[in-house]
Amino acid sequence: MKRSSVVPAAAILATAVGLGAVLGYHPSGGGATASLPASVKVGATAGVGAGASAVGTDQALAGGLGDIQVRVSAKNGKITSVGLAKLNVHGPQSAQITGSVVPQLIKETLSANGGPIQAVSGATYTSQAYAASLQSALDKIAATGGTNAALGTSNGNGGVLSNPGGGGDGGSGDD
Amino acid sequence: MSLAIREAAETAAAETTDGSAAASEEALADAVERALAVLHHVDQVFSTWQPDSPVSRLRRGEIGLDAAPPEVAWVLELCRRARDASGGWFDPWGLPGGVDPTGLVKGWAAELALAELRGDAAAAMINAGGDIAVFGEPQPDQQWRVGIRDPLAADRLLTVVTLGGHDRAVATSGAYERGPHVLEPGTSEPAQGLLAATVVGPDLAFADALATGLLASGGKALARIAGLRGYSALVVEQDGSLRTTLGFPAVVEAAA
Repeated sequence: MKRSSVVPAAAILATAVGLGAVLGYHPSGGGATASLPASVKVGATAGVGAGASAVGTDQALAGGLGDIQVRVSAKNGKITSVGLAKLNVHGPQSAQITGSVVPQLIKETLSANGGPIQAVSGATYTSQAYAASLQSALDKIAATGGTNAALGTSNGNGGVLSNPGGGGDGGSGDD
Repeated sequence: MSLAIREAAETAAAETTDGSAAASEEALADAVERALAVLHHVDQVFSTWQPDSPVSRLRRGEIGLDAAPPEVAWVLELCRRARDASGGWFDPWGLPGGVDPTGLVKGWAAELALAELRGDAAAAMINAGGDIAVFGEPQPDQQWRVGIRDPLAADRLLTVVTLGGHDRAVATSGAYERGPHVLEPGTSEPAQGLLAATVVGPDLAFADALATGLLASGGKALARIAGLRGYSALVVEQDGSLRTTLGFPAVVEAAA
């Protein structure tokens, strides 16, 4: 029987705050500013953690469905290099997409440095930890307004990359 | 959980002295309150941590589905559909301890909360712990841009996806935050073969469930997701290599 399930390991459920709480608010620039509920404050933005090492290895592109690598490295919030990781496109029209998309993929990844990114998708405490996480997040919204996570907007400085969980240890960096 | 909203255009354009602007501001603030209330409500109903929640009682067999709030039955129906769509790899019934719909509920709750904002905001994004749904545009003529985290480094992105049109939700599952936690079907061993799985599509509840199932499958479900209308996926293999289905919106902007 096929199934996916979650190991209820207590160790990984402690301080489950993967849903890093922050409620950011961005008026659209027209001058009007909506009032927020009293319990809600604007979250601070945060850049990529300083000191991230630049990593990138090169691998020649093969033809057709060959391996193509894309990897970005960031330092002080700036993407410093585009390295390579294999990209194999799955599907009957792989050849087309491999040829046309991958160079743009690299370009796009780099251009993230100059354009706003509103969020980062990544694995966090999901599934069984959801309830505790969500409650924690909501409590933090109510209590503090949150200080974690980033909501990149139109500030134009680019590099507004948020770590959704806040830290490499899996916690959300605000506690 | 984070929430980004943009005022409705008419609000922004209105003079701040205009009474209608103030009314819109108030309506937007109310909508935010409603969105948060929805999340609280869902948490209270579906929490598997609160022993007295309806879902906890259902899992223990203390109540039947007919005695639970009606949204529980609906969510379980969505779980059935997601299970079928994933080829059985996402299976809330395959867990010890009773049915556990939480793999789908988070995205579902985020969609509900987002819906509360539709009438009063021009655009909004909700980020439920790295699972993200949007509507509208963050700024006029811009698309939402979401980085996909490198599973091997929290401060690196694999790529950026743009969300717009039917691609308005993105969910990622991975073993990197909690270690291996998704069990391979039939073996009770942690699923191997993928570091992470990302699914993009029109609905975050489904995208979330499919990402979980895709990770559990070790990548075997990738072809199946490729066949689902509106959904696309990216997987990261153990060696860091990437595979995508056709249509994964890693790039939609024309090269400058």
